This record gives sequence, structure tokens and C-alpha cells, in this order.
Amino acid sequence: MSGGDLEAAREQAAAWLMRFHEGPIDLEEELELELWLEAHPANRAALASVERAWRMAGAAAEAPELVAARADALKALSQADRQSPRGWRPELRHALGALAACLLLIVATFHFYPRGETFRTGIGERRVVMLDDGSRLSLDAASAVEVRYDGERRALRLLAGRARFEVAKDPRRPFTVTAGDRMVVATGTAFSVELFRAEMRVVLYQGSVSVLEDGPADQAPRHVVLQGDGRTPADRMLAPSTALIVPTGASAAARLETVDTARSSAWEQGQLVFSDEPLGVAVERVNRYSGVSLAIEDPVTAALPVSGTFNAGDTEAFIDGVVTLYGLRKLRRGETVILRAPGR
Amino acid sequence: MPRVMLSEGVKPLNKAVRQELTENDRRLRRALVAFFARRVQTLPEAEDLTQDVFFRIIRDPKREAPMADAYVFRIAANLLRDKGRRERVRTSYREARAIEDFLGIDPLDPHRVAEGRENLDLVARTIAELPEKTRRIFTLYRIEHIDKRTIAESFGLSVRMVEIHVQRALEALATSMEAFR
Repeated sequence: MSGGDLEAAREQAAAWLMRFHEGPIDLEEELELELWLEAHPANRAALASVERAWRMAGAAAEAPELVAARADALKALSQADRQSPRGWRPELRHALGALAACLLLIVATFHFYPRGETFRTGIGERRVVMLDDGSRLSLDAASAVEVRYDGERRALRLLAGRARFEVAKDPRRPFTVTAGDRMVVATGTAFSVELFRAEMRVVLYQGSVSVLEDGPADQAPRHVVLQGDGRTPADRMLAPSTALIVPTGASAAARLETVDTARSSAWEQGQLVFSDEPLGVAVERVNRYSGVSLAIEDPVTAALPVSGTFNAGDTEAFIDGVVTLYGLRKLRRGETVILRAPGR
Repeated sequence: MPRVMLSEGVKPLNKAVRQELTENDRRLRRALVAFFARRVQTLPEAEDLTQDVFFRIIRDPKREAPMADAYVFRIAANLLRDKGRRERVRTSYREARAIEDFLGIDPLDPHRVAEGRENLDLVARTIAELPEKTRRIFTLYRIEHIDKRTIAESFGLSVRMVEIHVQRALEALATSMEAFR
């Protein structure tokens, strides 16, 4: 049987499938099908293969991968109908519009709330998790990471705090970490991502990563740019032993800082090392290790640079240290200690 | 329409009927036996009914040569309808058959059910890669169950064009699953 005959057999098989879809077939049609099936063994094979395609397309209806195509088709139908001179009843068009909106909602839900396993640590607790692919996830205190692996991607989301990722190489499944609306994409490398109220920090220990942010809804994510020319992709300059600091908020430009990577990963050993870091950032880190909560109420105090090494969890030592070094005042309010710069 | 002759009346005519058989008749005969075999208890019964069809054709003064397939189908269908009315045999006579019957597939075959889940990815990818118009029309017809006339009117196409788009999508899906298997 030639390729053209096979094509013709498939075409007729598809026509039969559609005929079955339209409603019950009568006896004459049944005979016609019987005759066609008896005419050549390839016809039966073609019908079997098209039937399989038909059935699987039906089974895939609820698959998240198809939801976008469904929403697109429904939208196209309701728009085409609006332009058509003999459009249908308006209520049908509205019903279709509503259906398309529901599907979009499902897309959004899948996009923003992927189902996965979430690893959390409490205050002062640290945890190392070996992931299925051999990657290692280290969670700092008061942190949470959601992990979702499937056949095509390894998608992680930093929900709070800080985590370090040592990524097992698997070029077929990109390893991505999303924090806020930024995404760090890695292949085989080690890096950490840390979330603060006002910024996100990526520290690279080894290899390379891309740092992307969501653009307008209809565009692909784009590279976070450096402040200055506002054009250079920040991740291109992100070498090992460098930290990229991306302020939260729409499209704010990022900056780079050199870090001592040995010190920067000291938190895994239970030490907090600060090197000219804003007091606000230092306080957020210290709070991950202690039930005593430190607070700063004014931006001037929050911006004071602090340096030093502290044992994680020993908040009192940290308080004594900064109070002595910078002449801060401390006020206790229940479980909260408020730090204030002199004269504030 | 003449009354149906019972088998005893048909058998003496077998030889004459056989002489009438051309290559075209053999082709029809296979389909008729398969058709009746699904509707009656035994294969000899199906063969008898097939003989009856040819007998009716020979006796028909309005018979044309060459015979149109549709003409033979009508005679066979009427024969079965008459038999159903007369003998009140199986009410399932009038029930439409599912496509699985024709393919000899068990609709609840666990392999078929599992296969659906395993290949979702491939199906979704193949559909996503179809040309825009084909993808939209197929999705509306197959997944949203929208009538092909409604689709045709909305997009300003003929019903035949809608059918062609659905056929193309099915062929693409069949091809990609064939490659996968």
C-alpha cells in the first residue's frame, strides 16, 4: 500500500470517527463501514489508529497543557461570532465567554499554585533535604521551599527565608527557583536565594545562573538588568563569589556585591556573618533563629551598616553587640525588642 | 416488497445465485456476512441471510447493472428490519453499534485506560503544534463538543472545511502516536 493510499485510509477513518461522534449510525451506514473495513486490512488499522487518537484527545481534555488551547479556541469562537453577520444568540456568546474565562482561571491557578511538596523550618531550625534527582536543598531557619518535579522541569519556589541549592546536572530538566516574581534558572551549580521584605538576594557559589523576572503578561520572562545603564543583564555579571541584590517592586534595577562565599554559607554551620550589611537585613536574618523578635521602626536605623560574626540563635549577643558598637537604644515591648539609632 | 422467503426456499437457488457472483459481489458478500454475523446467533444464519439478499436482488425487476453499493445496503438493511419485526428476536437489532464493535476492542481494556493517562503530554503537544485554525476547530469540535455547523457558521467556513480541519488534526495525532508506539 502506497503512502497516498495510507493517507486516504486515514482520511476516511477520520470521516468515520466524526460520523460516530454525530450520533447513532443506521444499518445502511453500518454496512458501508463493514464493506470499507473488509476492502483492505489497512483500513481497519487506520480506523484503529484514528480511534486511538480521538479517544486520547478526549482523555487529555482536562490536562493543564491543553487548557490554554481550549481557552484560545473558545475565545476565537466567541470573537469570530461577534464579527459574523449571522451571529448566534447573544446569551450563547456570553456563555462561551464565561467558559473561556473559567479556563483562563484554571490556567492561572495551575500557574500560581503548583501542587508540590513544601519543606519548612521553624525559628532556629535548619534542615537539609536530598531531592529525588540528587540535588541538595539546605533550608535556613524560618524558611520554606516548595518543590515540584515532573518530567520536564524541576520547579522550586522560595516562599520565605533563605535556601541554598546544590543542583544535580540534568540539562533536559531545567532547575528553576522562583522567589517573588523573580526566577533563578540553573543547570548544574550551587547558589542560594534569600527573600527579604524589600529585596531578594542571589549568591552564586559555583557555575552560573540566569535571573529572570516576569514581564507584561503576553511576553516571556526577561533578564533582570543592572542599575546604571539599565540594559546589561545582571546575571551575565554574576560570577561565583558574587551576590546579586534585586529590590522587590516592579522592574527595579539590581546591583552586584562581592561576597566571601565561605562566610556567606556560614549560616549552614550556624553562624551569621555580616559585612557592611544594612541593619534591617541583619535583623531579619537574626530573627530566623530566635523567638525574640527584633524590630526597627525607622528607615535611618534600618540603613545603618553592620559587620561582625554572631552565633545563630544568640540574639542577645547580637543585640548587645550592635547596641555597644553603634550606640543604639533598645526598648523591650513584650517579646519584641525595638532598636533605635541615637536621637530617634 | 415481496415477502421474505425462508431458507428452505432459497437453497435450491444457490447454484444460480453463485453463477451471478462477480468479483464485486464477492466483496459485498464478505461485508454482508460480517454485518449479519454481529446481529444473529450463528454464522450459518448470517450466511443464509446473505443468500437471501442476493435472492432478493435477482428477483428484483428494478435491479440495475452494475449494482450500486447503496442499493445492496438498502436491501440488506430492510431484510434485517423485516426479520426483527417478524421474529422479535433481539431488540439490540435497532441499537447502534459502537466503533469498538467494529474494531473488536473491549472498551474497558485496562491497557486502553492506562494508555490515555500515559500519553497526555504527547497529545497536548501535538495539538499545540497544529496550525492555528486546525487547532481551534479541532479543540472546539472534539473537546468542547461544539456542533460542526455552529463552528462553520462562526468562522465563515463550509461544513466540509470544518470536517477537513478535524480530519487533519486526527491524522496528525494518529501519526505522532504511531511514532511513539
